[in-house]
Amino acid sequence: MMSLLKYRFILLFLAPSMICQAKGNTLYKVASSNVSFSSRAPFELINATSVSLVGVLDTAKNIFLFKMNISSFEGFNNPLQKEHFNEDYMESAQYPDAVYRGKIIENIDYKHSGTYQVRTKGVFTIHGVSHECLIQSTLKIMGQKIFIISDFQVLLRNYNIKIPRIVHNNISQQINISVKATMVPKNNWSKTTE
Amino acid sequence: MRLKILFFFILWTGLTGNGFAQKPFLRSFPLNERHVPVRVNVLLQDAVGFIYLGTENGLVRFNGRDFLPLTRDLKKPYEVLSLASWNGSVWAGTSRGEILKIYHHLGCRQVKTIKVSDSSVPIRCIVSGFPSKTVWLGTENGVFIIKDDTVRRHINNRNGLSDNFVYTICRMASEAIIGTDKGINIIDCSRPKAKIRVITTKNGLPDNIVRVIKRIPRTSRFWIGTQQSGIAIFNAERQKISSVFDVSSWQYGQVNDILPLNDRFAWVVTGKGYLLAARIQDDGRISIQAFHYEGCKFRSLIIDQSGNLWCGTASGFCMLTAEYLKQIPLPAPYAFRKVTALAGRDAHSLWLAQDSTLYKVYFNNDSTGISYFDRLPGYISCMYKDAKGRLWVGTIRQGLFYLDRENRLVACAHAGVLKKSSILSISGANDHLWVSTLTGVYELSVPVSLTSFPRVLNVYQKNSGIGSNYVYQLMSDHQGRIWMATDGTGVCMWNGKEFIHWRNPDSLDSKVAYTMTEDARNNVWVGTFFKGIYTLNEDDLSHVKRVGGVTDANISAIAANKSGQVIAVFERCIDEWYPQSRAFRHFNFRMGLNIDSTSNALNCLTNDEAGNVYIPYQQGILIFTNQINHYSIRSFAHIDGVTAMLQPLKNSEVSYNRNFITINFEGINYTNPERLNYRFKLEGLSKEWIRTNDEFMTYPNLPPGHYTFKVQASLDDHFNQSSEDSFSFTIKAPFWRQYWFYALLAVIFAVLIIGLIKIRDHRQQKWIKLRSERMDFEYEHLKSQVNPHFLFNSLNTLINLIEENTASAVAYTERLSALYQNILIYKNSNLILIKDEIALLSAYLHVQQTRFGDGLKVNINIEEAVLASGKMIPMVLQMLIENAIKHNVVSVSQPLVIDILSKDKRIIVSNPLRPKINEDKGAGIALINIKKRYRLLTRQTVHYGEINGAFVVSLPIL
Repeated sequence: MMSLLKYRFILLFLAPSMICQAKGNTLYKVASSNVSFSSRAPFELINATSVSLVGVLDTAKNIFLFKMNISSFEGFNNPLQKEHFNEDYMESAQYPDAVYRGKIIENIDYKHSGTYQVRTKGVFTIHGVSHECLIQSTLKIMGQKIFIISDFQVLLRNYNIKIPRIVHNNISQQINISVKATMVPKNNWSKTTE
Repeated sequence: MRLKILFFFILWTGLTGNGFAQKPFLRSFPLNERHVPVRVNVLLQDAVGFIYLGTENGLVRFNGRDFLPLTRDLKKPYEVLSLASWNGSVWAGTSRGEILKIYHHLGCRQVKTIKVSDSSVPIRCIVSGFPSKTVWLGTENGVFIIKDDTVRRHINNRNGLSDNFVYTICRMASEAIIGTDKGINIIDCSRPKAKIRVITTKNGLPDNIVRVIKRIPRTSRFWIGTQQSGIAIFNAERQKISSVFDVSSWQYGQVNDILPLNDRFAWVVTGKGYLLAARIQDDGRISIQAFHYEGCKFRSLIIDQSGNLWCGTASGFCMLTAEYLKQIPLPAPYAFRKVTALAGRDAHSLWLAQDSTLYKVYFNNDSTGISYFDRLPGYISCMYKDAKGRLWVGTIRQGLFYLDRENRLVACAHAGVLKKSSILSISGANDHLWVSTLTGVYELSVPVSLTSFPRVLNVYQKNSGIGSNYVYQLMSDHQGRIWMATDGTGVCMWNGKEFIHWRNPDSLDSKVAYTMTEDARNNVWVGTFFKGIYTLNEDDLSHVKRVGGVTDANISAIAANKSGQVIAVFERCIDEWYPQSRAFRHFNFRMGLNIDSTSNALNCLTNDEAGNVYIPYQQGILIFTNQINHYSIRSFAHIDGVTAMLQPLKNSEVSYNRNFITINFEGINYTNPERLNYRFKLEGLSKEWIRTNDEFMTYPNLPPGHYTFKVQASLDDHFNQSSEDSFSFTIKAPFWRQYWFYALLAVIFAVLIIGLIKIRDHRQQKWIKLRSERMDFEYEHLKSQVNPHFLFNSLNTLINLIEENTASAVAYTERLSALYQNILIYKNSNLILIKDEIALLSAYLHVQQTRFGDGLKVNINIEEAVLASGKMIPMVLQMLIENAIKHNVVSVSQPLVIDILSKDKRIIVSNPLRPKINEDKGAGIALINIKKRYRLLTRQTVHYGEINGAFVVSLPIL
């Protein structure tokens, strides 16, 4: 039920394209995912992982939307760190989601299996701040499945995330983010939405 | 062994690092005092000359010195993404989908906001000049076409645009060439329904994300800058990509801006901090020379008219000297103070001498370095590379050396006198070598193959015509003549037959010339010992001119490049002459380029084959390059605000009571703004120019009239090359100094005069009337007194009295005569005291009472105060009594009692009404006369009439 609610938002965004593409199986959804970030600061290395990425890819129009819950990150060095992460830095009660919506620049033949280096371009929103982003990704197409692998950096300064001076040596300004996701066709779309 | 050398070579080049030789200087201009980084997205220079910076915090204007935020008063912060200017206004596109239009009206700056669409789509580019005066906006949601500040058309992917994200639009004739995330789109604007043509990777485009499209001047080809695959050239006529830079070797990051300077050359900046010099080769391929600036994420690039490249970066704003000045940074053991001589070697190396050691300086495309070559027994004073590429080295007290075929320095030991002499300068012309020593100038013949030693042909000394034995510099001009800068006789020239001396300029006391050069126009420039710089015509040595605007006197060298610039090196600064502007550009430590000082050795510089000038300085070698375009360093003046009583003007007419005019102006200069000074004049007030360093002028109380304020800015004392800005206004005269007011005044005066005349006339008429009334009155009075009736009665009474009582008859006659005397006395007077009137009355009463006896009784009861000060018309009371007697029965049985009393500031005369049966004619005339006379003197009226059987006359007391 929870996931249904999440999808409703995505549905709204993709609704026009769905109408156009009524028949084709051009919509893919995230089946499984692993999103991790790491902060390499002089004194501390922080890693956290989340598996709650949701998203849709329209292969006909080459557009996508991914969303994940910030508070779903696990695996900090200690519980207090997670609390700080959610309450002080990301303010995840106020800004619960990170959203990346945009388009794939390169034209890909989704019917053929293979590995493609693509550039995705869109608007990345974290902490309530939106920035235009260009992210390099690798798309592996294996039959009906699409694997997405992407590594990129986020500068905290750009997203108005303020780090107190006292932990400057514990938290890096540049956060490395690594995304791995598997996407499958949404064959029975109507069933899920009902 | 070879491997070892290779290893060291790699290590050495690795250590010298990513050093791109001949790197232009980069100077950062902090946008704020606290040096907080500000993202500068886009730059623009407008027609006035200002540079506009579109930053994340709004729009900022730069004049070479100061940054002026233009959108500070707007409530919301605006991120400016695009800029354009035409028709004197600047348009700034924001990230909120709005356009800020900045224009000048009546000398004051105005900002207008145009909302493009309801959703705030960031505006990425603004292009004007399309047919039917439309402006095209490239946004993140397609293209908007606006006209008269309203959106007329929206082109997006539904109309055939390949992608909605538009980076750039470039105009060619009636076609718009649009760079998007999915290739190039070409729209024919003249046919609105025409299909949009799309060029993508399928058509040979190296990358679909086309961030920059810039037209190559005077062609139909375009530079294309992409996100990851570098630059390419798009031919719009053939609709195809004509050449591409090797995509696989593109390592410079995403292309953020391209600045084409001519049909072969463009500067390119990238997000990874590279400045690229991109050239189109003869075979159509693109070659690139890269300069890296660590940490500078370049975003935009423009060039000003003085040749500075200006860059907006992710963290600020900076200037690059790539068009005129580069440097070769040199590591230790380089120390600029000790550099004594410099000479060219080949395209990528120089000879450099420090004291007695000779070094080679390398500056290949990817590395720079300095390596030891040889040491000579004496101090190296000068070096010369002759036409055949051979190096000649002059030393102090150790004679002349040359580099032989085995690359060894060999002394010209045979050449007799030159053996142990001190060499000051070496030059060459027509296969002859000229050497200046402390004992004169030697002309040597040099064998072509250098198999035999040079031979002395001639020796020229003080007495041979030079006039001095000391020649600081020998120079051969383009005709092969030898010029000498001497100590004692200035400049002289050997034309093969004789020595010709310059005509010593009158202002030049010193006859010491240190250094000389021949510029691109074949003028000879001479630097003298503390007496400035002179130019002289090569063919007419009597035509010597002093060059103004030089900042220093302690000159050490002068040189010229091939594009017309002349570089004068001083101990603490460098001046570069710009012939188009007829002014010097000044380089010193204040310019943020770390050019503090140069070598103080005389003539320690060199030119390469192309004409670039190499000058050693404390951190390496400066290269003043030939300039591709003709740059001008002249400054611009701009009037930026005119106020009256500190309020902006509403129109160009100023009323007299707001007559406090303040005019703010500023100068624009990007070379030496710290040296700006101004002159201005106010035409209408004065014809004299006034010099100032202030940037405003206040006129507190100008006389009414029409004025034009003109201001000029200049870097030196000469304003003849400077631009001018002017502002005209009118001070209106106050109303009392305007013609209508004068006319009004004349009318009022005339009315006043006429009025006065009228009043006077009126008065005169009144007076005449009064006189005639009085005469009437007197006449009536006199008539009554000389009435035969009265006389008969009086004379009868007198007869009776004479018979009865002689004494009273005398008294009666006296009173009668007094009565007539009184008439004569008071005939001309208007007023009389009541007291006197009563006295007059008594004479009359005596006459009448004598006649009537007890039949007439007069009771006078007037207050003392009224008696003393009250006034009335003379003879009135007498007339009233006479009147009463005339109209009433007077007898002893029915006595007539007349009461005269004062009441409420009036005198009341009353008598009971007992009219006679037969009335006299003319009854009432006396009363009417009295009333008329009183009316001429007072507003209070005379009342008379019958009240309760009595006839009452009430007279006002005057």
